[in-house]
Amino acid sequence: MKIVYVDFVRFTPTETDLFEGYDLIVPFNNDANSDIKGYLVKASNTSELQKKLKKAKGFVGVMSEDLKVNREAVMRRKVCVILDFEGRKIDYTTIKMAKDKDVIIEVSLSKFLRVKGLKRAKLLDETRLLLKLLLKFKTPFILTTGAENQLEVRPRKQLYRFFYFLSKDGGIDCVELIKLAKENSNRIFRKLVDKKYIMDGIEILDV
Amino acid sequence: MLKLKIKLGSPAMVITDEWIGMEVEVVESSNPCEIGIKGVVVDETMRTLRIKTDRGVKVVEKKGRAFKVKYGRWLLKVRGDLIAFRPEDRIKKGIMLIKKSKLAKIDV
Repeated sequence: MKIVYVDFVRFTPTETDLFEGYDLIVPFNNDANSDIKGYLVKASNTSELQKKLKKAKGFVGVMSEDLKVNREAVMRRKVCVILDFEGRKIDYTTIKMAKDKDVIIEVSLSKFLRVKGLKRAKLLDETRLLLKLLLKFKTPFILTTGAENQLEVRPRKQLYRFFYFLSKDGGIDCVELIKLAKENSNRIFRKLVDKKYIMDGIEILDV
Repeated sequence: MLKLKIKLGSPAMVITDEWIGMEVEVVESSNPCEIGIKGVVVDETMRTLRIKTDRGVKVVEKKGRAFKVKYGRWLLKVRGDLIAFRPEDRIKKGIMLIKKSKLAKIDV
């Protein structure tokens, strides 16, 4: 089966040449005019999240610094993905719930580009722990650039190589990690693009 | 509570529907001898399907298999894990699975 690579970004890309190796770019930008886009919800508390989710539709991604907001977002049916950035807080319970509720956890590269020094070292440690937990619970996750502008975009090979070595350095099964990331990427592509896909486990072969 | 409008006759409803009398074919299985078993479902239990084929009645487990089934005007491929419940429970559990699934196409 052909592997299809999906990337999540926070801006509307104008040049697709930069996205080397990706088959589908999903911009989480509510102003974007593309056919396939994500609906971005930013919230600082649970009441704000609930208000914004009432208007949300389609492929909804939540971005929040608050642990409680992320936990609440995972429990909501409308939310499809918890987006990643340098200030995101996500815990053991949220990752476990994300597996039950089929919510994707994004693990992005660009957050490391935006910080330096000790912050970057801490972020690397946190990401290693996150990857360990994602593998342990087999929670759906995706490796993306998470770019906020064109300068943060990286080729797909570089992205996967980075997470391969990051996980290897942390004593995590890197081969399994990359394999699961590719499977999840395929699943997301089918959900968003494939017209013959009905839900996980049901697809149309012929009419 | 979120209300979900599932269109009756939508392909997703195959997991809530009665499978006895449906024509099925096993397309994926961990047991290679089961692949290609084709016939009409004559009986169903919580974990198995009894399929009447040219060579007699075959009992096939639901979990870990995928079935090709004719449902309405569609030819569908359905994973056995989604129907691995007692037939009388499948109506409720099937609707729960559909509601739980993200971005399911329920209005086809």
